[in-house]
This record gives sequence, structure tokens and C-alpha cells, in this order.
Amino acid sequence: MAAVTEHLTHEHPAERLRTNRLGLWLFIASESFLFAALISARYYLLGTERSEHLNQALGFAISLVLLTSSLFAYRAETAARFGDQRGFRRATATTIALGLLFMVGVVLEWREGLAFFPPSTLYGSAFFTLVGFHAFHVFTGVVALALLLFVGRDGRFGPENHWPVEGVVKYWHFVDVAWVFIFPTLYLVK
Amino acid sequence: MAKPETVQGRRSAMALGTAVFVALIVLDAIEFVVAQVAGQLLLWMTLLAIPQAALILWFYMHIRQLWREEAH
Repeated sequence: MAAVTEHLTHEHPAERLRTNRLGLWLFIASESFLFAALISARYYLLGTERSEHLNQALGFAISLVLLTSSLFAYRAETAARFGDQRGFRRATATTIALGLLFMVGVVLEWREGLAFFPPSTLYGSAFFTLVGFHAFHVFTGVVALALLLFVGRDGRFGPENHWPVEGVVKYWHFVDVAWVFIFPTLYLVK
Repeated sequence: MAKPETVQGRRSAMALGTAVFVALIVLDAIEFVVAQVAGQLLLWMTLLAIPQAALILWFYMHIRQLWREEAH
């Protein structure tokens, strides 16, 4: 144990960064299996059947919001990597705002969904579980981004210390990747 | 003052991010339009979702860092 602690303490920064990245990618892979299981359950239970009451336009709109948030998350990471503190703070704040806007869209969709296909129905069960699970990830992403913005307000993230930004932003992009598959699965396929 | 190569590197990274974003929006819009007009939707949606995920994984999440050493 002591040897491991000593090794970690004296680990080269590049080595540590590589280890951090590998750990995050393993976490993302495990999360992917969860989303894949839920998407598979939707097709297993319902085939390609879809509710006619789904608001596809709203689904498309919140997709665009989430994709735009990914652009700003990328810009935040790039700004931190190049030491642009103002750019980092502005892009992170915009990403948070877009994440919250996405969640407002989900709430609107849930209000409509509850009227037409409540969770007690087969379709409602698949819809609310999948969207709810994803929305929870968006929520945790927003919290992580807000923490990043708070911690980074003194300009601590820069070219030599951008792993926290990279890690949170990677997680945010993963949430976007999951939605890229959830959106057609729930809103478009029939 | 920032070094010229740093400014240039940041500019090209931002431009790349914007280009990927435009590609994602276009693919998403095509997906939405195809869903209104085409049959065999599961196949079409899969064909359109995979490139979107690949663009995000490659350019935004830098998945290549897993097997390639990079300075950042």
C-alpha cells in the first residue's frame, strides 16, 4: 500500500494525465453499457412502435440545444488549454445555460407525455426511463460544470492544469453522444 | 502577449470545433427530415447517428489520446 502511495505521489504529470484519461474512458464505457441496455429494452419491448403524440419538433429543438452546448463545452476546454480565462468562463457559463435550457425542454416534453402515455404504459415506461436517466446525466453535468466555473474563477485552469476542465467536458460530450442515439430511438424511429 | 503560434493554434482549434458543430447540425437535420419522408427508419437512423457519435468521439472527446501520446 505504501509503495503504491509513494508511486502515485511521484508519478510523472504526463503519466498521471494518461491514467486519469484511461479511468474516465472506462467510466464512460460503463455508462455506455447502461444506455445501450435501456435503448435495447425499448426495442425489445416495443419494436419500432412509436407514440403519435410525441412532439418531434420539440425533440429536434432540444437536440440542437444539446449539440450547441457541446460546441461551447469544446470552446471552454480549448480556451482553458490556451490560458484564455475569460473565454473559459464565458463558454462554460453558456454551456451551463444551454444544459438548463435542454432540461426545460425535457420538462415540457414530460408534461405532454404524461397526458398521452403515462409511465404505467409500455411506451411511457420506456420513454420516461430513458429520458429520465439521460436528464439525470445532464443535471449532474450541469452541476459539474457549475463547480468547474466556481473553482476556476481565480484562473487556476491553464495550459499546465486543464485536466479538471477536460474531464468534465468529456463527460458532457458523452451525454451528447448518448442523446444522439436516444433522440432517433424515441422520437424518430417507427 | 500570447505567442503567434499559440494564437494560431487556438484559432485553428476553434475553427475545427465550429466545423464539426456544423456537420453535426446538418446530420441532425437530415435525420429529422428523413424521419418524416422515408421508410426503413431504423436503418436510416442508425446510419445517421453513428457518424454523429463518431464526430463527437473523435474531434470533441479526442478518443485518439488513448493510444497516441499528445502534448495536451
